[in-house]
Amino acid sequence: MNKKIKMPTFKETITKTFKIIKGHRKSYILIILFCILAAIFNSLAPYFLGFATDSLYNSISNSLPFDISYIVKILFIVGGCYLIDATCTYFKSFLASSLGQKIGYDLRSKLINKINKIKFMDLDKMKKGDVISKITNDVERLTDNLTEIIPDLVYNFSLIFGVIVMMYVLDPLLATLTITVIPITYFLLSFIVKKTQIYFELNQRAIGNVNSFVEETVTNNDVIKSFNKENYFNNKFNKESARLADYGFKSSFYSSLAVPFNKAIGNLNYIIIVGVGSVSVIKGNLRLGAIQSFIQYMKDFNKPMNVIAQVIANLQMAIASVDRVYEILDLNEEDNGYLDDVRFNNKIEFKNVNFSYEKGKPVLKNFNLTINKGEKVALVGKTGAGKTTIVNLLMGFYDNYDGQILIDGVSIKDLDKKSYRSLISMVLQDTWLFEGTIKENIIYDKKISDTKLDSILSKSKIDHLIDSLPNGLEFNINEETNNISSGEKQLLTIARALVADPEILILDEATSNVDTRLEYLINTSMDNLMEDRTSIVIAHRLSTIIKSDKIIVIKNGQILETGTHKELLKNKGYYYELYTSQFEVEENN
Amino acid sequence: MKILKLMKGIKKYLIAMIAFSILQVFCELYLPNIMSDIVDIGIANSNTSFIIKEVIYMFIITIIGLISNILLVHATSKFSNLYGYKIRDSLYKKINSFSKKEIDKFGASTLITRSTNNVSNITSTFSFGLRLIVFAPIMGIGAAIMGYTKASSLAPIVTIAVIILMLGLVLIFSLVFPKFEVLQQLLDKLNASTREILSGLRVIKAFNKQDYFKKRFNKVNEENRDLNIFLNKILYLVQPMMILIINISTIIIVYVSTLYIEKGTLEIGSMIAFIQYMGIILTSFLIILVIILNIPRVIVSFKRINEILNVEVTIENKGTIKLHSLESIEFKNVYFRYENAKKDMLKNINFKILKGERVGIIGSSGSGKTTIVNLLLRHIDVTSGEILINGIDIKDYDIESLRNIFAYTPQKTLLFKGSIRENLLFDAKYNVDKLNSAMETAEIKDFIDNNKEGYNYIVEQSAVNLSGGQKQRMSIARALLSGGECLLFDDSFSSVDYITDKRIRDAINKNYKDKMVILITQRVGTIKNSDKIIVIDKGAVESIGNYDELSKTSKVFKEFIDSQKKEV
Repeated sequence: MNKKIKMPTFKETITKTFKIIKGHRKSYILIILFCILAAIFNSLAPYFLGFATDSLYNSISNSLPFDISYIVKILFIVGGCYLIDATCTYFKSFLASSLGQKIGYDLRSKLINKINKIKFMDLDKMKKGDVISKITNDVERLTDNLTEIIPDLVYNFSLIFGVIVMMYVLDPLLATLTITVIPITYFLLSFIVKKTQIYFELNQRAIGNVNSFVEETVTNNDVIKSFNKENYFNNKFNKESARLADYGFKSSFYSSLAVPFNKAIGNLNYIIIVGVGSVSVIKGNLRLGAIQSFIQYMKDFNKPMNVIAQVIANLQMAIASVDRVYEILDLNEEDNGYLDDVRFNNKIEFKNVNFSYEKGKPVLKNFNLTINKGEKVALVGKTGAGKTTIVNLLMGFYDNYDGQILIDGVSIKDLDKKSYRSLISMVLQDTWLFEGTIKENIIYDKKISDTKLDSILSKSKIDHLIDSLPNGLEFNINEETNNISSGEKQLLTIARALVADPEILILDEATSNVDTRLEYLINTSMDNLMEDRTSIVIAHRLSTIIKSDKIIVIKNGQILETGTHKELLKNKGYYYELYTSQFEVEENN
Repeated sequence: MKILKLMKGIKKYLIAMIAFSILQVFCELYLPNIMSDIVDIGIANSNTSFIIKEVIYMFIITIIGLISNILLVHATSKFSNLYGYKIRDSLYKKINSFSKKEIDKFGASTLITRSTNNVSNITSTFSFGLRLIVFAPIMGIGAAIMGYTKASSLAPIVTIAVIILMLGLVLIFSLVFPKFEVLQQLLDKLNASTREILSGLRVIKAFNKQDYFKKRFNKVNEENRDLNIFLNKILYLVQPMMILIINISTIIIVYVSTLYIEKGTLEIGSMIAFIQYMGIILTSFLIILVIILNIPRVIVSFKRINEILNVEVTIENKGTIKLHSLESIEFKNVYFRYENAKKDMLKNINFKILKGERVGIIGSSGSGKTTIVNLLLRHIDVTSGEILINGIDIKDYDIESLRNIFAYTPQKTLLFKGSIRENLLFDAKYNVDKLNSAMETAEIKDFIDNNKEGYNYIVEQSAVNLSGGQKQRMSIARALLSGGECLLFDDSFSSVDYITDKRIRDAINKNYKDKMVILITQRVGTIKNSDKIIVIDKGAVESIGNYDELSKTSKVFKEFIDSQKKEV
């Protein structure tokens, strides 16, 4: 809650923004070209139009007939300017927005890529809802604003530049008075930017909190219901939501303050021109027409200033989003080894491994274990003993352990993660499926022959289940993955591991969601399946691991006992206690 | 629209916005008026003191304009953020009141985007657009009135230009509008795809399928990009087209004015003034346009939120009887079928459980055990048949009092971000002895004792800092603390080892002797000592009896026992 907010400097964020648009230089040059062309033709049109007025004025004051053909000619030139202006404006806007979309697409790709590569240590610290909001909302905000910011700035600055040139041509004194507005506006804007940046950050953070809260409670709806705690959560949400409303108000109010002040400065400028100009006219230093022209240019000068003020407000939003996106992009990636020719011929070793997820809470303590190729090893112990951690380390999900984990004598840190992981398949405690067909969920994009798939399906005993589903293998698992039962899910993940056909098989509680009858069927086929493989099984159900070559009993991150089922029973140790408690049914009979 | 009714109570800000807008328009349009006085009177008569007096007036008007503008901005920010707050609040309350059926129907991810993304969309569009959409028409109308008084003969040209503009806009928006709904759906998909990858990252990495999932994500990502580009292609046509139409009308005005001036029916000064007022009308139109560009998005957001607010929750709390004590639970010919499903999930379920009984419900996964729990807690309602508590249909009970009767431990353990104490008690009164005893029964007290923070230990989102077993035991303790008369365990021991499983059950038998206990499980051992075991197979009751009876008579139950025995 009391996280300190580190404010990045404006320069830093601008550098980051430029980094994001890097690689699109050509498109930007084209967009800027269109901007400048549009600005030029936009400021030329009134200039030409002035000739028409002059012609009318001259005709009237000299009592001559109107030169209609001359006026029509001028009007056509003016019309041409407007047409070119409109065309250029369209292309600049369209190109800029397309570019924004492309950048957004790239950024999302990059973010997903990054998510796939960062360390679990870092991922565990992040909130899911927050990450999702960064990838969807922040990128959207960023592209929407980046799309407009640069062309808007270029266009309006060119317009201002053109107007300044014209004003100096008319009258240097009044021009200088008008231009003094620029530094005043600049200081005012940078003051407001500085004041509001913090609220933008807080606002984004509050959005993240609200998102996480909603995500958590919507997915836990039935628990809230069962405990009658709707009101409790409504109240909690109300607090989060009120905080968001408060920061939202502050950030939008303070940032839009730029608009009224900017307008007031513009009006003061107008007053100065009218006041000073009129006195100059009386003194005979200025033409009356010049005031008229100045007022027109003032409008052209003031309008882009207002737009720039708005753009600055948008830029702040974009910057807040850039920072949030970079919180992910700046994370370190998993270290990868250099050896990509990974083979497993001999043994896996844990040597003096110490590991903790959080400082001061060791999970594995001086852990030593050797698994020989072809062995079926069972890890047994109470929950929290460290079994899943062993799997996490073996998979290379966490690298910050002391000691060594070796495959055939080579540290797994030296191995290319991809090649190394292709040696191993696992079936995890939490069955994870994704929206898509059953087939996709089992084989992903792997090419596999129908006969081979059929044999895998029958081996994993899922063939009958699939046959009973509408459309069989093409049955679509929904987004919530709740249209198949948890037992079926577990079977699918087992089939998935079989498709991968790994050297090493890890089963973490693989059978806990399969009912006992199904488990029996799976056990039989699993025996055949593990035959040519090294396997590591974690299960509370001792029945599934009785046939293992080696049973490792773990307690508090250390190995307590090792041996075969018979040996361990003879010892009458911790394993014996575990075993008898499970089979109290049989014992009592 | 229900969503519009939420403006009640904050309409005063809207009124303030209109009032300050009018004041500001007055100030803006009055300045040129003073200027023309300075030119016509001050300069013409070389009257410097008159000029100074008028300049002071202008200065005062500018200050009034500034103040009213600040107040306008303030009222806008207040209104849009308070409105967003009100929408979020009622939306969240509504979603919280949803039953399982509605949640499943919409899916969690769209409910999440609707209550976050869509609301912030409304707030941000309002906070920048609302001020302008109030201000711009007032400014435009003011300028139109001034223009008409200056040169009424030129007004038809402007009118025709405006009509052409309107027709063009209607055409473009009718083309673009339907696509915005699709855009929102794509955003939902993007959200879902991200969530999928985040939750399955371990599996994805283990199977080296990063590229496959990147491809899946990028497919949605691409669709989103392409649709946006298509929309922008059309939408960005609007602004230049509009400016062009108005600029061309300016040219036509100059041409027509020339003819009028030649005839002597118009002054040059009036023409110039008219062009200036048209400039203001143009600016107002432009501002309105920028806002209109954002309207489809906002309307889509409005519609999506409104859709949620309008949902009739299927589980209605129509019952009035308060349930205070529990004597019996009875299922009478209960059938249940999910909407659009082909087969019944539960078929003709009949059983009765009395106070003080310990009952086990056993069956394969997918056999319908959890559906029974959902029916009892009224997350769903029976398709036909009756569920009776103390002989009265559960629909006749006040739903809150009904749910209070159950101390429920769900199959999937769900804890919330926050302290352990909050997770266990929510907002209930804190009683250390009660808390400790429940934690002891659930075999999780040692976690509190071994922790510096004790009950203040913070559970992270998705309880990532607790193991599966710890979560499950906390969840059991939470149920015990709720004080329900019927302890309802839905496969609640799956992540706990057998020793702990047995210890917890023993402690419950000892400490909660007089309560009804319903244990749903796949483990035969867990329910061995139950007074009554109900065997569920394929959605129907296969048999009911105690362990000894069933081990002789029930085919399914025997299979369960055998599947364990064979391995010994």
